[in-house]
Amino acid sequence: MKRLLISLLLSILLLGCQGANSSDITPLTLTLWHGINPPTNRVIFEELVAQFNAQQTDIKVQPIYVGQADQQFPKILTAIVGNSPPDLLWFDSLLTGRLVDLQGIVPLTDWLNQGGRLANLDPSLLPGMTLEGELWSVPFTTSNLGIFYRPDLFAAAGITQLPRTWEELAQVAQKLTRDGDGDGRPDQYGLLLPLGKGEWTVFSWLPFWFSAGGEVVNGTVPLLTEASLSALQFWQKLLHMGVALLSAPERGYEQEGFIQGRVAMQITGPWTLGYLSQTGVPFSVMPIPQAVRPATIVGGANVFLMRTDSRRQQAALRFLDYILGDEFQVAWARQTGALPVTLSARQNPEYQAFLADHPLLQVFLTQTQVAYSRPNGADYNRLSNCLGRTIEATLLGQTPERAVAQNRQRCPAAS
Amino acid sequence: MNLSRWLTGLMLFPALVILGLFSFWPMVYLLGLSFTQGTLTRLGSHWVGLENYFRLFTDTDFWQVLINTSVFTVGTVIPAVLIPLVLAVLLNQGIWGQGLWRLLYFLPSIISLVAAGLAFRWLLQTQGPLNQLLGISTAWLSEPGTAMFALIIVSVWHQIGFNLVVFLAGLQTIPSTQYEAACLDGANAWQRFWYVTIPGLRPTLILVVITTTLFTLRSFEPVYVMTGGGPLNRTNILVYYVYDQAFNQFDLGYAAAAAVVLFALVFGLLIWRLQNLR
Repeated sequence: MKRLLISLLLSILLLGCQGANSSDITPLTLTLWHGINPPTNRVIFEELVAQFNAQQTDIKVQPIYVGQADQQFPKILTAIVGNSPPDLLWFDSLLTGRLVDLQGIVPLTDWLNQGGRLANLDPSLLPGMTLEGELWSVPFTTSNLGIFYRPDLFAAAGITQLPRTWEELAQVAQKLTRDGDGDGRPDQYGLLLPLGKGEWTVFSWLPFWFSAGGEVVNGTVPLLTEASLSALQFWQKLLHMGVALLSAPERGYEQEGFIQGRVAMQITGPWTLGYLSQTGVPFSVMPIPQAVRPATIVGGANVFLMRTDSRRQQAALRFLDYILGDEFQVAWARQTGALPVTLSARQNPEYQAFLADHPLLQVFLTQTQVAYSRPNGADYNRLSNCLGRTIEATLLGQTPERAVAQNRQRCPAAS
Repeated sequence: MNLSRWLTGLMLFPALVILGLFSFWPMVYLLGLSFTQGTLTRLGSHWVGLENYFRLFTDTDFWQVLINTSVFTVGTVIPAVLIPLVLAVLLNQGIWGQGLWRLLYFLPSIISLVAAGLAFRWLLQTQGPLNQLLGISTAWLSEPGTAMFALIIVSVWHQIGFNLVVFLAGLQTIPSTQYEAACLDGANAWQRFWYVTIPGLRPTLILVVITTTLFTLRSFEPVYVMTGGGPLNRTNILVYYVYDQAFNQFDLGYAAAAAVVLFALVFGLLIWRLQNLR
């Protein structure tokens, strides 16, 4: 009995001393929180992540959908406070300042400067990545705003020339506005303008502000400038002319009116190309008409490297490299219609062939040369709120001068 | 005796721990947060005393929000109590298809407010079904004058069913003999309603007023789905304001102060109503 017990104990000790088999090593799992939408794009992303994982033996990236942008922030905040952040975070670059304030992310300046990574990025994306002299994120995808229009309605109104200036845009919108049933109310408007004070309204208005000569100064959008008044006056003019329809509050991105032909033009971006194509409605895209210079605004999403430990951060950098690689960028762009963020991916023959089949994307690609970024400091949300309120007040009838004056008092940062 | 008390305490302990952890601690934390400025982190938050409250009460937006909340609450509670009261009395007369009517009126209460908000947003579009039916082009949700009215309609519509069922239950507790006696005394329908039904329903009525007020004060979904607090802040009510300040403006200390004011408001109303009940 005694011998048996001793044998058993020795066996257990021997088993415990046995070295781990290399095939038993569990790969390091990195979490990536994202809010990729629509769900079909999420599936595409997960497949691309699976491809990356299949190429790795020691790391594995686990993408986790954490909801739309406004649902994500409380989770991110809680995770940072609770010292359990994800390894990588997919989010709008507008959050940069807030994340830097929280000391939740790691600067990527040195890493991006190595191996020609930075030189390969679309230069228009750099302002969105930069804060206080450091680069804080890697662009995942990019986009910008253009004007989607209905060629069938243009043809019916006898319009053959696309508008290139604000004045021409107003004239075209006037021709497109018509009262079909003679009840005194238009059934079709020229352009949809987004009502509300939310980010979509601000995002849609800023191209006009940039086009009027607006410049971001010290991380803010100065309100009391000729550019602000000019852009506000133009939107108000479209309403006074009765050629623009206001969207439902905070729903300026919804496209039902455009699809049903109630509006002939709508400001939106390339992410809607797939959806619009499925509807069977004829549509096309033009650059945003200009005031004193051509301009649009940078959209898209970036990936942040969260502050964890150096081993995890090093592993996460490998995934960032994968995101910036042509394999990912071309596959993502081809399957979702998003614009590649790297110059090499844009020149890739496979992408060029795709572009030839989808010529509307060329409008957005060309516009990247005149695309401006929003400020990304910690106070951006407050600034956006002030801008949004000014725009909303103007759309609802207040004079731009009065709206600007009121909101300057409310948020001196924008003055 | 001592053992019994000890056992009672022991049995209550787990429930008290859970209640304390998930109900009272967040309230205490919220109160603490309202005296800080910052981002919930040790890095960013620091004690600012009453500054958030000072900001709150000197902010014209906050006063606008308080006015909006009052209009929304009064505008909802009065019809959401009176309409089901009248309907309950009518349904209690033994009319044809009583069960079906009850079901139909109750249906809105089981529909999610988010879904209801989306449906109403569609109905109330400028070029939507309601305007087409009426032959008008009112921008219900985009006009400062009509957006609050639209929100009140949704809120009342959603609460009628539940209140109706509560009133119907309350009506069953009034003895029929009281009505018979009133009839014998020559009371007409209005007098029976005013002198028999209303006094008999008093506890139910107070309960309905309290629950409707509390529910309305805590409404969030219709504003979030239908108006986003606009236009021009005219539909921004207190709960949405707290959310907006915390998760859109990231001003957590300030949002916590607004939440404390909301809590004080709800708690004060509750105490006042409960005193009336006695």
